[in-house]
Amino acid sequence: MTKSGETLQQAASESVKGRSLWQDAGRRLVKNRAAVVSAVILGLLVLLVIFGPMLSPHDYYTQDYDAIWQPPTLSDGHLLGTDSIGRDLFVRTLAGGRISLMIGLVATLVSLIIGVAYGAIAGYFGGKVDTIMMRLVDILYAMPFLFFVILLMVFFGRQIFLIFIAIGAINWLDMARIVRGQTLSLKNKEFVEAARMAGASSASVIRRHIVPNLLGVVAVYVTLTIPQVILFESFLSFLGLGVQEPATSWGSLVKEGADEMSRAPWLLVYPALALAVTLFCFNFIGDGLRDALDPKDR
Amino acid sequence: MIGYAVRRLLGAIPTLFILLTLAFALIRTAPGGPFDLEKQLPPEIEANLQAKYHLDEPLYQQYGRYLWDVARFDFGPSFQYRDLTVNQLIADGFPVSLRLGAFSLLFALMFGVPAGLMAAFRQNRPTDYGLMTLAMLGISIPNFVLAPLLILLMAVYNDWLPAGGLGSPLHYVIPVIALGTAMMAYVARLTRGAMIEVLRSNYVRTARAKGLPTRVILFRHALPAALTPVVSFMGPAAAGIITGSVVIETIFGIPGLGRFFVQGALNRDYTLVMGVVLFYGMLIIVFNLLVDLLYAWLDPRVAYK
Repeated sequence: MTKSGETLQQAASESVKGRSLWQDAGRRLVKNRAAVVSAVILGLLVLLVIFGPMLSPHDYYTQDYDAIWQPPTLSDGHLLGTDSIGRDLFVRTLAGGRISLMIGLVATLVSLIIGVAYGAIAGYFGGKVDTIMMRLVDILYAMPFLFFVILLMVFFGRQIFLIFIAIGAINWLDMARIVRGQTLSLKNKEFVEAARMAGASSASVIRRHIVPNLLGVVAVYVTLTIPQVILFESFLSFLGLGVQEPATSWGSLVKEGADEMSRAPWLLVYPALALAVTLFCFNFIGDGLRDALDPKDR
Repeated sequence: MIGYAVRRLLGAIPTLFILLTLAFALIRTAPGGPFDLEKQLPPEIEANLQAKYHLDEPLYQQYGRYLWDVARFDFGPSFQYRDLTVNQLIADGFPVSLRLGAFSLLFALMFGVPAGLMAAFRQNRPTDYGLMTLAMLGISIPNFVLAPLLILLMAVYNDWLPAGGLGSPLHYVIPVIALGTAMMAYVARLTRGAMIEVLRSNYVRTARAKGLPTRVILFRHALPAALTPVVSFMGPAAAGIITGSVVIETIFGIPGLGRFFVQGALNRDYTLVMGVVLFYGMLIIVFNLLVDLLYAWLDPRVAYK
């Protein structure tokens, strides 16, 4: 009783201050325990991926012939054991993580830029422009892109650069659709009308009302696209079509581990764990972000 | 409704045409050819081979020939499996892939829908949180990670199930779980979300106010409406199964279409790759149409004219 009384007093003594949409969303996000824990784990993982290799006496490509097929141990620095030619799995997993995370970020950025520009143009101009642009998206949607990417990789070699382009080129379709739909519906929303009626200029309507609403959806979508892209790259690498030796990614490590699993299960388990935990965290954060930004579903 | 279906199928023709053209262009501009083996073939034999498969003609002529063949559903001879046509290979591989996909879909629905309903009935309680965390886990573990882990657990460490091939029904268990788990998780999340929304809706309140028993409200009134998002998810799900089966079939050595595709691409078997891509394209279009028709049948507010 006293506690709530104090807060009441406190609230009364402070001047009344409005909270922005983002502050509101931030408060809701912080209350979502799963999202916060995921963000912390992901942050630690990113730090580990960046700085971890410096802490280990080994590197990801040197072959240690005195320690082949070595199970995880603390004694000689091979924390997670070694593979069939004595390379340190701990450092390899982190090096693979660098590539996987980098591909996730860059390819998502590519799809973000194309998708937002395309979707906003279609939604803003509407009418014929919109019809034609979205018809094109519909046609592209029906393409089995996975197969094209596989063909690209087989025929033109496995270059990281190509992976970025290919994945970015697929993912912008969803982004364009979402941004277009949002722009269309926001243009005619009551709160936009209300803002206009209250005398807000178009510029401030767009800045204060349309863009923040768009950003929320885009932020959610970006958080959910990154794991998709990482997954897709791993899928390609698993099929042997992704990153090439001696460079590695989580997908290629899982593949190597799967080939040797009865002999050296640690080669499968640790990279698989790293991949799954990362995807898990991104998905939880994306979910939390969506709930935080879209309070009407709560 | 039939008119609508016919129009949709006709509308798919340009899409397939673009697909064919893109695939053709990509494959033919790629360096390397189907007869580049380790052993160099004598020039006469190579010329004969090229002539037999019309590879010596100008590209536009090959393209026209291929287009005409495909229009009659003839995907041509396979370059790698010399004695077989692509049609035969698809006829061999597709039933295998279809069976695997259908079982996975069934698995996903059988466990996903009840899990979603249970979570919705216990919204924001431990059951709900537990089930949804599991679902998130299912979405986050890729099938190509799940498959080797399942093999390790159930076939290597314990001798419960066979690890590869397709000899008996038991052989299907691990591939089906690996392929169906992510979909099951999506289905559970969709069902939960839709059910929560439906339970708050006015007509359910009305049904409750009339004094209908809870069981009738849930299963007669709420469930069909809650399942519509699941039905519309079946379109993307089918596409997901198709891509997933590429890797699952490779892991388990299952002789389905997905494995043909990967091997065809690696061996530059032009006709096989093109055939499989086109076949999948048609499959997805037909499946999406079926899903939309089913959707209209379930939800009377949706009408196609």
